[in-house]
Amino acid sequence: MGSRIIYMELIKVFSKPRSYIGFMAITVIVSLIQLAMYMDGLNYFSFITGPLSSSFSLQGNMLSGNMVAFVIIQTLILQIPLLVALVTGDLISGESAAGTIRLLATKPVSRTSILLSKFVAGLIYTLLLLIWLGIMSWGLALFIFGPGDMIVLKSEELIILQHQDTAWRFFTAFAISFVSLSVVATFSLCLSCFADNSIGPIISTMAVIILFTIVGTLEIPLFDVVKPFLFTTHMVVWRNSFDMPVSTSQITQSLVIMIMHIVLFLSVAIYRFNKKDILA
Amino acid sequence: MSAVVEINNLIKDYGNFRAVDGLNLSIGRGEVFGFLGPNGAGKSTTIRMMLTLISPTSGSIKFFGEDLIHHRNKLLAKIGSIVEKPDFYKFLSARKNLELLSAVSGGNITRSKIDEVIELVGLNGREHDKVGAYSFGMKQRLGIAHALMNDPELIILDEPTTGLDPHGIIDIRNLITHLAKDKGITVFLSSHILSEIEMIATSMAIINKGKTVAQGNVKELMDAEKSILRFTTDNTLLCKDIIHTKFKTESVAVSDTILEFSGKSSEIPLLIKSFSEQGINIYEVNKRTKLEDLFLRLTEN
Amino acid sequence: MKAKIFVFIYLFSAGVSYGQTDAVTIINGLIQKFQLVKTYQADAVIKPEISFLKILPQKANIYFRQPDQFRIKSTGISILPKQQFDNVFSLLIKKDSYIPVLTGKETFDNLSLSVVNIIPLGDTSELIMAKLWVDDNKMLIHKAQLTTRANGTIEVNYKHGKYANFGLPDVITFIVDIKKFKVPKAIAADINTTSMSEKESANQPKKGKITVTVSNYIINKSLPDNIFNSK
Repeated sequence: MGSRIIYMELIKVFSKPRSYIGFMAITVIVSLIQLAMYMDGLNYFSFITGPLSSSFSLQGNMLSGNMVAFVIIQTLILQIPLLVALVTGDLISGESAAGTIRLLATKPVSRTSILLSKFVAGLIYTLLLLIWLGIMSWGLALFIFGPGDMIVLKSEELIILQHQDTAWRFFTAFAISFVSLSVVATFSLCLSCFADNSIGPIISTMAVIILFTIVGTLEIPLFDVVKPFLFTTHMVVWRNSFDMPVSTSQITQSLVIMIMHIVLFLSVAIYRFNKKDILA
Repeated sequence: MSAVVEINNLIKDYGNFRAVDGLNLSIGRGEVFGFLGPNGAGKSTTIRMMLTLISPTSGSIKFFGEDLIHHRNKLLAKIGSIVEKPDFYKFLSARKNLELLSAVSGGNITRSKIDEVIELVGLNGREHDKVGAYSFGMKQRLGIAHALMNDPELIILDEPTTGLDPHGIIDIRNLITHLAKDKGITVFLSSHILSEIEMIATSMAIINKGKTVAQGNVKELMDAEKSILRFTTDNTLLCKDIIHTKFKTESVAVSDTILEFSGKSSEIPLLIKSFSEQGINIYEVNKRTKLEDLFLRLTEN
Repeated sequence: MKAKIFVFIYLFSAGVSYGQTDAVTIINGLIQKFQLVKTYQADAVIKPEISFLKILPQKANIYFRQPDQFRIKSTGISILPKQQFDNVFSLLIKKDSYIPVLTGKETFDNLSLSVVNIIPLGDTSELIMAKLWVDDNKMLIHKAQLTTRANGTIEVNYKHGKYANFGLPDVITFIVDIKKFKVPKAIAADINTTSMSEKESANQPKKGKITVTVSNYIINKSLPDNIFNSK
């Protein structure tokens, strides 16, 4: 029964036009950035490496597929969670608004099973969206610009990664990003259990992400206390895949914290959904 | 034989407001049970508690002798329902809706069963259209098809004829009667159309302010209630006199030949005899049972 | 008194002339050795050691053709100082653009080396001064210090091995001044970390090192033009 319910949820997700907004948005935005990089990427990167040029001469291909992919992924870091929440924030509240929640809740399956099926369907959607992002950003960039070394620009240092050293880093980054986006998916699903319309959970999810990101960015001592507990602090740990050396302990720690957030949000969602009186 | 539905002292509170106040119901197998009450009486709340959409504050609900809380999945697999308006996935066709929902309906619902229920409700030919394009009546039919597709032993219908044309209403009425009589399916029917309940229900309950105010066999309840007796005669004035003198009741001459008054069915033979003795010709006798009168009487504040 | 001053000036000039004469001999010797190699190509491994830069050693190929065609080709990104390792010789061969002055001997790397200052003529040159530590027996430069207008002082150390007869080094080490590296947060990849404190920042080394290890020289073999024409 479990796989059948998940299949049912996936059919519902992919039958809705809104589920394709994310894929279309990624296609359009990433294509535009790729085009811009093709036209003017060298100027963009020469600006970035400007601080070095006073003492050093950088030789080699600055405009590799790996470089472009990294820039694209980093640029879209705030937008992708929104595209995920657009679908996962609708999983329960959308059915409440449409009245179809009554259909599900009167069936001989537990509400926990229904919620977990929606959770799994949400994760599958998130994974597919991320794969599409990977194809459009990394795959297409490699196709257009070719492989090559990449420069990772940090505020206090510069890392140059050789192209044979990048593939595993990208795969690691995408794997970590999947966990990060799963936190967003679970959070929005949890909010969805408290609402009877989709807009609330989607906007609330984005508001929380933006707020937490701002708190995480500001270098105020008071905020330093809460930063380790904000899931947005750990969501960006995918970038650590491009460090030299890669801090596996830091990545592991962040992954554990993110998984704990997923468990927490899912537990709250299950509790709420089971207790909720369905009046819609 | 244990009741199919047994509700004992069911209570539902929303904060300080008590929506259902110690409701008791008992419904036997194969009955068509009419569930009546004014707006806000607690009908929808009761139905939602029966289908686990809402949790009771206290009390118990049993189906087929088993407690709903402890055997929820097993019991709901035997129940089909329509709760309020029929909402389906608008972006999917009717058939696709039923196929998807069969995945969570328990048991093995085959494609042929889906075909059968689609045909039963008269949606064949339109089953591949998206539900978003359906009229309200078509959605209602689809709702009934959905309620029947898992071969339920109990069907809970909340105003199933809403939005249907007269043909549709008759079809549904006949279907309900057929399900109960020929298939032994128990039907729990909530409706505002009293004539419908009167016509098809075998038992009923009237609730008001969350409490049962009347429950029992429809015929018995109607018989116990005074009916409007209508006589078509050739001398309404004399009839009026006889009724007033002998039965101490007032009557109303609707026309030169028709006389109406409130009386029991058991009084009809005596009335006919009395009129005949006075040489009055009686052309027609009608008993107009007004469930509406019963309903209004029991539910007035 | 006047005679003493005259003798002093004469001896000083003679000394300067003698210093110049010896410096010219050394320079000519260096140029002669330099011109033994018409072309060369070699494998190189470039290893930067700069505080704000993390990069693994980069493999590259070096190509040179007389008098001043030089190209480094690598599959990836490589970092080199602005003054590349051919600059000393391309400076030396333009004999009429500078005055060489021998200033004495110094010990470097357990060797007694002649120190020659290269003073450019004219005010428009990018180079302010160059200083060379030369083994004048083998005509090998072991160390060079180039002071430039725009890029501060660059120190270049040479280690020679089996190609010493051709004046081609095995290891070249560049030591350059580095300015503090700072990039706007909007472009940086680490927006969620706290930045270095001022104290930590002040403790960052002010010099960076780039070591180029050269091997497998192929000397005086014809090289196609397209190597030097392509970017």
